[in-house]
This record gives sequence, structure tokens and C-alpha cells, in this order.
Amino acid sequence: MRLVEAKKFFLGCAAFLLGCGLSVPVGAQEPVDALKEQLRGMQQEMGDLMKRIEELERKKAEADRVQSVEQSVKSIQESPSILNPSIGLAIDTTFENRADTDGEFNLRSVELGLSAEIDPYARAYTFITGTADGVEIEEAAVQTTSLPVNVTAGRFFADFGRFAQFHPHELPFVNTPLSLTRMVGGESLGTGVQWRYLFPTPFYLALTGGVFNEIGHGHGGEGHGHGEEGEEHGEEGEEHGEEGEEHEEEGEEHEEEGEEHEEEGEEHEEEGEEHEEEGGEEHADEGGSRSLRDLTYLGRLHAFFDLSETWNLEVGSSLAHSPRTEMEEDSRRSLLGVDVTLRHRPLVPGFYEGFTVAGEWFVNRQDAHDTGTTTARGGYAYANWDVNPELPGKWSLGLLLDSAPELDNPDDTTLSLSPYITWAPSEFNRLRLQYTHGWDDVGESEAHDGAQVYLQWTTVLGSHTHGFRERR
Amino acid sequence: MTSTFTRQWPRAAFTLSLVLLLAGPAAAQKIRVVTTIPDLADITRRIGKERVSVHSLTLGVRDIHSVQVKPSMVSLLNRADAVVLMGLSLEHAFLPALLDVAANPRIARGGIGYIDTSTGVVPLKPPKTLSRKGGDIHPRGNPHYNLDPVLGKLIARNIAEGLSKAHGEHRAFFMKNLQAYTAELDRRIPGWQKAARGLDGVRFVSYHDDMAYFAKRYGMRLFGTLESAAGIGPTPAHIVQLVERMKAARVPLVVYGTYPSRVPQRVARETGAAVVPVPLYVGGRPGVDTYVKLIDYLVTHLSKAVAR
Repeated sequence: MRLVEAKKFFLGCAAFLLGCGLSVPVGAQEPVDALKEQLRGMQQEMGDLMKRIEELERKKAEADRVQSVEQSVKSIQESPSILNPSIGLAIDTTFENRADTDGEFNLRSVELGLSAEIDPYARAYTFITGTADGVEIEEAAVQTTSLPVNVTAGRFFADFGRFAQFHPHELPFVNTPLSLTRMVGGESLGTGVQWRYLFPTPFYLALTGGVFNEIGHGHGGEGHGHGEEGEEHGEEGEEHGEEGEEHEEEGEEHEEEGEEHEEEGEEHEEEGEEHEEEGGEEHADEGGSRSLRDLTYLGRLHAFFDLSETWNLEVGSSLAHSPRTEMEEDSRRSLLGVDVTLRHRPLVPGFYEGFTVAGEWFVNRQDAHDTGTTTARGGYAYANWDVNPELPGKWSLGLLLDSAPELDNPDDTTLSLSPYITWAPSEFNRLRLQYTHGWDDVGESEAHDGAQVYLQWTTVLGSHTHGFRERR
Repeated sequence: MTSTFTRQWPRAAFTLSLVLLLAGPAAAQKIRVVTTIPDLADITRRIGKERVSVHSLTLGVRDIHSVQVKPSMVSLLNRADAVVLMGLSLEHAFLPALLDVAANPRIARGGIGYIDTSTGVVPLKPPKTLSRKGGDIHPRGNPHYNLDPVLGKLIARNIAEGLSKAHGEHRAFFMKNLQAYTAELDRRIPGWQKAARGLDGVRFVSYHDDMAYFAKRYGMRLFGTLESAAGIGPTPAHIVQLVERMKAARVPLVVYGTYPSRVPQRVARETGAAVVPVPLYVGGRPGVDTYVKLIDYLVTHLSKAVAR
């Protein structure tokens, strides 16, 4: 009933309004029509705008969706190792002709590298290296990424000098310089902790400190003097020579096999002794019998200067100090290293693409209770030219000079001169030919004297980055 | 009196040091931005103006694929508030290694100051297979999108957004500058399009496939590269074959960027093509000191070379 009344009311109103409209003078009709027309236009325009808004919203939603998918794909593609570490494998092989062997193929190392970010604060990496002597975890370390001071802990190459921090296959020449081998132990490998502070200076200036069980194969308190280390290397070389001879003998007389087995047995016995020693060292590590005096302490100051847009200079000074090198009182050792690297890269590359001249000089001082103080000085220098002879790949020529004293008897030295040429068809594939001529007073190994020729082939599979440390 | 001074001077020195330490950062309020290439540095300066200080890690004349990793770069990154990069793995040879040791969580990947300008770019030529048989490939596709001025606007937007995210208090300023810079590019883009009409359909040979985005924008067609594969230098067999094909197809243009000139010059001589050394980045040729001048140079010089 009420609805009927309401209808009547609205009809009445409409009739009234219509009446009013009709009663409007004829002259006033035009503005109303214009207003109505304008209203219709506005309504039409508003409808169009609404459609456009809807269309834009649809497109935006689509774009957001695409961007989200794109971002996730990008993350996966850029970091496939988000859950699995980056994996790389480096294979280093050589053919060698030395004074002690006419020719020998060597699988020098196969290095498996794994690295990944642990969380926003740290990353970890490991290099597991297989050589003819076996497989070892060469490096396994954790490194902070977000602290103002870079802290590294584990087993890793200590920040001593320059090339002591390089894996041998990353060096610009075939072999680790003998001076580096005798002074540092080849690589500055150590188990411990290290921290590096970057000064807020206009140029790069970094200070590293560290504490290790030992650095290299011998700089520390585990009873292995450098002389012994050198001898070990010499023995390795001699063993290789013996192996070659043994193989020849195998072909000639079977009777001698028995002797060989005996020799092998002796070798195994020696290895067993070595393992016992290593076990003892590990025990010392774990058992806490090591005192602070048996540790090795590291310091390094490192600076870099951009001399111009084409020249730069890098200088560093490192000190490794072991208060007690053997398990006896009054024996200590300090190794000081100074490294300088000067690089040039022209702005416009042509045949000449760059030049590096660098060197490291070491002073080793050891005080022993029985032999007194011995100071040995040695080092190496090299020059490397990058050239582009209009042939495929990257080419470089170099010359290495090396002076390696015997630590226990510094007057005896091994000198060597090594020209080399490197060809890298790609970033992951490299061949190198090196001639080395040695003048040896030490007599550690026949291989150090006279002419030696090396052909090295190094390849890399997968991801392979030693990173900032092994920059050239 | 002397003893009072002796007692007081350590305290005075400490106070002075503290004041200097605090005053130093206060005086240098600028946002420190490190970019990987000079193009990004120029655009960042246009967006951030006096509120940013910008350093580029590389020079425009250098090959971005073989950048020398220098410790001085670590110092810059260590103190940076933001790092601006091209992404698409263009900087993979040097930036990840530097960020690992920069000890600066702000600019670590995923950090608030990590600004990847490839967001929104649809990469050209993604590899069909992810294998190094194809050379030193970029897994997501060609990363040289800086040479497309339309994508230059996207780069500017990504930089403005990235800086605003970390420094919200300057957002309005950055967005105003972005608007002005985008308007400038919008004014110039039709002019470049008009000037580059002669490039439409032109086949060319490039040392490395670094002109892909520029070519697409102006209708040029890549005939081949002097490199036998991405990142693998020209081999004699490849060049002989390429020269024969170029002669047969009458390819009129050879371009090379940050690479040695001898092979492109020789190929051009043997085929009768014009050879143009092109800047691939800001600073790649004398006088090319802004992004706008970079695109100007490319359009002008390539059009002239083709017209001849």
C-alpha cells in the first residue's frame, strides 16, 4: 500500500517538474539542452576514463606479475647456487724435460672448488686438491662479508706476500719460484684466523693480522724446519727420478721387481712415519699441548696506487714470526717479505696490450739453540708482456728470475732464469711453454740444475673464481 | 702551568679528534655511488645531482669483459652507499670478486644499495644452450642494452627508484630529476630516430655482439661478428669465411668498439666496407662525455658512414 502511495507521490512530482519545464519560456530551452548534452558528454568521457583505468590496472597487474616472474628467474639464473654451492674444477697437467728425466707427463693437480654464501654475514669456500701424492683439503674457510673487518677462519692461504697466496696453476709461469718454496713453503697455507682492516684513506691501504698453527709447509712450531722442507721437496724430485728408473728396469729384468717392492715397502714405511708425525701434530692441535709460543703470527701492510689511468703500483710488506719453531726452547724464526708490482695497460690496445713487472724479496732469520742465528735472503722477479699478434686467444711473454738460498746454509743458492710464452684460447683454457736454466749450488735435486723444459696445459670446468686474492 | 697543559692536552686532543671524526661525515653528506660503467655514472649524476658523488669503476675505452681487478676498487666499494650495475652478468668478471672483499653489506647482492639497472629489460638473444661451446656466454642474454636510448630511460628510472629506496628523504628530488632527464631523452629520441633513418635495414659486422640493442632500435641487421664465438678472438679460418660471405652479400659496414683495430681494418679493406670505431660507453671516444652525446655520436657517425 505504501509502495503505491510512494509511486503516486513520485508521479506527482514528475508531473509538476514537467509542468514547470513546459512552462519555461521558449528562450530558456536552449541552455538546458546544452547542459544535457554536456552532461551526456561528461558521462561518456567518464565511462571512457573508467575503461582506461580498468585497462591500466589490468596491465599493471600483468606487469607486476611479469616482473615478479622475471625477478625470480633472474635470481635463479644469476645465482643458481642459492641452495648449492658454485662448483668448479681446474686440471693442471705438464710434460717436463729436466736434467733428471728425459721426458715425463705429470698430472700436477686436479682442484675441485666449492663456494657459496652462508647467510648475509659470511661466505665459505673450499678447494679439494688431488695430486700424485693423494687428495687433500687444501683450503676450507669461512669469511665474513658484512663486518667492517674481513675475518677469515679455517684452513686457507694466509695473506703473506703475493704469489704465496696463489694456487700454482694460477701463477703466470709454470712452477712456483724455488725461493718461494724454500722460504715460505710454496703456498702460505695455514690453519688459523686472519683479519684485514681497510683504512679509510684516499688510496687502498690494508692491514692484515693473523694467528696460525703454521704458515706454509714449515713456518711454525711443529718441528719442521725449512731445511727439512726443502729436503722433502728434493726427495720428491729424486723419488720421481727413481720411479722412472724403476720403470725402465721393469722392462729389462723381472728379478729386480723384488728389490723394487722392497724399496716400495721402505717408502711405505717412510710414509707411515710421516703419517705418524702428522697424527702427532693433529693430536697436538686437538689436545691443546700447543702454547701461544708455538703459533705463528702474521702481519701485512698492503697499499695500492693508481698512478694514472694506465699505470698502477702495488706494494706490500709481510712478516711471519714464530716464537718457537721446534719443540724446544730458544728457537725462533722470522720471515720478512716485501713485494712490489708495477702494471701498465694502454688505453688503446694494439699489438702491445699490457706490461707487468713484479718481484718479492724475502729475508729469513732463524735462531736455533744448536746452530745459532742464520739469515737467508732470496726472492724472484718477473716481467710479463701481454701481446696481441692478431692470432686467436690471449698471448703473453715473460721472463722469471729466481734466487733461492738454502735456509740452513745461505751461501748455497739455486739461481734460475725462465723465459716463457703463454697462449690462452679462452679464459678457461691455457697452454704455456717454459724453458728454465738453473745454476744450483745446493744439490737438493738434479732437477734444479741445467736445462729444463715444461709444457703446461691448464683447463677449467664450471665456475672457477679464486676471486680478488689471485688477481693478476 | 706547564703541568696543567701536560695534563690537559690528551683530553683536548681526544675531543678535537672526536669533533673531526664526527664533522667529517657531517660535512660530506653526499650519497656515495659507485657505478660499473661511465654511462651509469653520467645518468646517476643527472638523477642525484649535487646530492651524490659518483665514481665509475671502469673507463669507457676499456673492454668491460676483461676489467683489471684493482684494490683501489675495493676501497671505493667499501665506502659506497650504493653500487649501480648493468647486470645480465656483464660485470661477472670483476664485480662479484670485489663485492666479496668489500665488506659492505649495504651494496652486497640483495642489499638496499645494490641497484641493478637491468630490471624490466627484456634481454635480446638469450643463448639457446648454456654451454661454453658458445664461448664466454651471458646466460640471460645480451647485456649491452645501454646503447638503446629508450632503455636509457628505463636505466634512469631504475637508478632513481634504487636511490629512493635507500634514501627515501630525497625521493621527491630524485623523481623530479628523473622526470626532467626522461623528458630530455623523450625530446631527443624522435630526432635520433629521424637522423638514423639511413641505418634502417643496413647489414653490418661487429667485432663483438655489443651493438645488438642499438641495431634493433634503428633497424640495423647484424651480419656476423669478427669474434669466432663470444669472447673468443677472430680465427684466421673464421675471418676468411666471413670476408667471402661479406663480399657476396655486399655488407657495407664494419664496426668495432674497445677492441684492436687491425682485424676490422683489414676486413673492411678486403670487402670494401666502411669501418667505424664506435664508443660503446660514455668516454669511449674523445668528446663523448655524456650518455646523450654517446647516442648522438653513434647515430651521427654510423649514418654518415653508411651514407658514403
